[in-house]
Amino acid sequence: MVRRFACLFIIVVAVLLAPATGLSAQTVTFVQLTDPHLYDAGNRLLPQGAREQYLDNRAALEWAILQINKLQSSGKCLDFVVITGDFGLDVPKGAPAPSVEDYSRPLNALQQKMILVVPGNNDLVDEKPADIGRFRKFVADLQAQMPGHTVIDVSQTSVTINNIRLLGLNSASFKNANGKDALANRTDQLNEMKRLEKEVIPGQPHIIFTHIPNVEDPYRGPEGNKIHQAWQVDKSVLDTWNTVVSSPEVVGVFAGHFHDPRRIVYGQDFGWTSTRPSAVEAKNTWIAPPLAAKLQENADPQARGFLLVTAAATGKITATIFWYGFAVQSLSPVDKASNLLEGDEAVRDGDWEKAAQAYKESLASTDSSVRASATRGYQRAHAEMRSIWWRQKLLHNAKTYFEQNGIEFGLKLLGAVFLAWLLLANRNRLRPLFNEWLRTRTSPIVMTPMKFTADAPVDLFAAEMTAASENLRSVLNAAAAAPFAYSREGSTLYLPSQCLDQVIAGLPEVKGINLGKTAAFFMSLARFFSWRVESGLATDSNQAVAIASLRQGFRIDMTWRVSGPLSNPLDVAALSRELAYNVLGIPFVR
Amino acid sequence: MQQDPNLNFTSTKSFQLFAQGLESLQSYEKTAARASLNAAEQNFQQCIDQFPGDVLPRFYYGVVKTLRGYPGLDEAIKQFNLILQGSSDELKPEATYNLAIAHIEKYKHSDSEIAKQLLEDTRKQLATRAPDPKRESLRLQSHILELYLIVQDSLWEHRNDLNPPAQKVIDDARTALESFWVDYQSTKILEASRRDIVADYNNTCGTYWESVASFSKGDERKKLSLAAKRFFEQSLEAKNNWLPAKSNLARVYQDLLNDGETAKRLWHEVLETRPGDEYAHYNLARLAEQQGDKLRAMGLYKKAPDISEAVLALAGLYVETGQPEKAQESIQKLLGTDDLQTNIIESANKLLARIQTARKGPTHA
Repeated sequence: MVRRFACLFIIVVAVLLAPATGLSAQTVTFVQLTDPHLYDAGNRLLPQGAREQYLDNRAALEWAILQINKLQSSGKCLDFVVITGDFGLDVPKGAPAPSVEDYSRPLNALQQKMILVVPGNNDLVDEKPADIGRFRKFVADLQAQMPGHTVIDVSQTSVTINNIRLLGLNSASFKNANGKDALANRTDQLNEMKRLEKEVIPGQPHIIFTHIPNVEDPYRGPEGNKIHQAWQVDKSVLDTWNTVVSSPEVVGVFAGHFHDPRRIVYGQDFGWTSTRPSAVEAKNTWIAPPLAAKLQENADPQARGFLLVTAAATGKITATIFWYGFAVQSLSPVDKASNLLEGDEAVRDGDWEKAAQAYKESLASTDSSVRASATRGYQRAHAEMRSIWWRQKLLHNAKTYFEQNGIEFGLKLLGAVFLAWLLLANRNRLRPLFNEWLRTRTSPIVMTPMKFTADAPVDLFAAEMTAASENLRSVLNAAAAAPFAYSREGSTLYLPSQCLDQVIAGLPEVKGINLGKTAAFFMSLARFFSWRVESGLATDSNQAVAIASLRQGFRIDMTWRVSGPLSNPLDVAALSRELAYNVLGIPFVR
Repeated sequence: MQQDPNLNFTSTKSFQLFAQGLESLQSYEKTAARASLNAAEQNFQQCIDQFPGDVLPRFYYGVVKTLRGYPGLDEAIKQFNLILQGSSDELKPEATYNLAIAHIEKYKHSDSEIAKQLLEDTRKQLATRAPDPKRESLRLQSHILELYLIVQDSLWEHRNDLNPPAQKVIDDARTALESFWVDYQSTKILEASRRDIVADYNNTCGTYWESVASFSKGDERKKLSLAAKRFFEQSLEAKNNWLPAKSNLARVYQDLLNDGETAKRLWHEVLETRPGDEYAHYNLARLAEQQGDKLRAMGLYKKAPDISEAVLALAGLYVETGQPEKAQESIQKLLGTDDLQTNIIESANKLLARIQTARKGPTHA
């Protein structure tokens, strides 16, 4: 009897596990990186800007690799990493050939050993299909420098992992110079499409990786009115594609190419398009955000990152975007920033109810940084309002409270009295310690100023803040070095130069301005927990308001506000100077 | 560096106003532009009005008021006194010294006495602190100014007296000056303060030898006058165009070396630098009077209304030119002022009696 039950149990378990195991074998989990653009920023930017963007983009690539490794270390099982083009091999004319090491060095650090690639339009000179040889050589060189990894151009060689076929489509030339070259490139592009069509094996699940997706391009030209499809290919090419993408074997198409700062553009939400893609295209197409800062230099926040995907043979796809949001130092809390400030002020006044209300309104901000601050503020305000003291203050349910917490309150009061007595009794011993603490805490770091309104000349403001602090330092140094003044009668007066030495020694450091974005992020993280001054500038027609606050972590200790006319840059200098001198005075305030 | 908490500011606004005031003050020192001094004064004043507990702005407000000259001296004295009444020990030596300067520049006998005491206090305060070049500079500067006031009060003020001071007073002053020089040479001070101290030392020595020359006669007087001249010139070498030394040199040429032309040139140089200088006008008036140009002398005396000797001399000329009412009015006004020296009061009363006698004469006639 027991044996029969045991056999039955084994059979049931085997039946239950069999399809599950089969299903598990037919999924792939991968990370899609796209558009690292390490070499080609010089096509749009001046040399210095291109150099800075190279550093920024390289930092983003390294960040992505670090994140992928962390994903794996935390137990995520990745099958491969795919890079969907735009390495940036289309270097400016006259620039040296790209160094493969720029990619091989960071990619060698990837724990995942399988790397798939496809070419992007910025990997071909002038996006000409004939230039594909250079890309292929680049891939071969990359493989040569990464002997521990496998680097495969899937537009050349298809790969099958977990019974899912991984195909590549070379769409690098599909823009066709806004359609002008569609006819000229038709043969190459049709051949490529036919090749892809042949790669699709009936009955097997397929995933296609390509650079340019067949959807509307979110970039609408400088005037913002040029709506166009990303693919400008000949109808024959498009027809073949429609056949491929509509086939039940294709479970997903993963592309990149876009550099729009709107985060809604990425993933699978095509609500931003004016012409929706076809149902099958929309169902299958996924767009990864770029790694590069290209066309997002002034965006705040930017939309950069990578896609983590799990694709099942059944067609079920789970994709998560990892945003690279930290490189942006200055956020632009245009929307609801004033509510945030109002909340901060209310916190200073101890009016938690008002603070909570203000933070609540800030939660509706379109800016992620404002929302993040508002969330913290809101949670803190409610935490405070949950405290005994707040409830006491408001006399809310006082009777109930004392009935419920009378003993607890009594004990806390007793504890507070004892603590106060202890502090008073030891005040002489504690005073030097307190003074030391005060001294160390009053060395705030002045952070990069922020824009409170879109057109605020914050760079000028930041520069003037730095200049003002340097000016003050030089004034104080001069005053401390020459402790004399001559009266009208020619007598020598003595100035308190030794006291000024103390003032100079206590002047806070002005930092954070003009730091590289990555460096600024890591430094700002460290500074978050030390005393720091955050400031910003808002402008409205010909008026300007500059605001600064002294913070530690989430705590706000002081706030300054200066305002004045804004008719020329000198007005910014005057505002900055007034604010800077206030800020620099922090260590000397009783 | 450990901060003295008493030097801290009530608010960052106070620090901001202080910093802007300091900036304007430095601009004034570089350009001598009056607007900069006004801006500095405005900032410091606003600071102490709004934040009366802040010491550093108050100190600098006192400095600015002293730089204003005579109209600002009373306010400067008030501010430095307030600092001395406060609890900031760090600032006390400088505040005491600057208070002494403000008193000295009032050019009154009673203020000179106060200044002497304050300079001595400054030295005493500094003696309790660890010596460093800045403090030592201030100590020596206080000491030489104190010696100057001693020489001025005990010798120079008596240079026209019938009976010269006791020899011991003269010898003590000389010994003190010699000791000071030894002290100066063996003390490490700020290089920037050397020229001031050397200029003050030579000016004091010049005043000493001028006084001693006044007590002498014949060749001895000439020899000592030349010594005084040399010291004043050395003072001017240390501190170019320094008006106190230049005025003293001009006076030596005028009174001891009988070189009216050189004296006149020097007085005009003083007036070029400081057009309203009453002492230069007074001495030029004396020269004009010596040369018999009474009308010019009267005009020049009128430009020195705060110098009691000038008022007295003008009254004398009024009498000589048949204007006893004006003379009487001037003298009565003079006698109404505070802090007059005894010899001035005596001379004024004598002149007043002479006027009244002269008036009675015709009445009785």
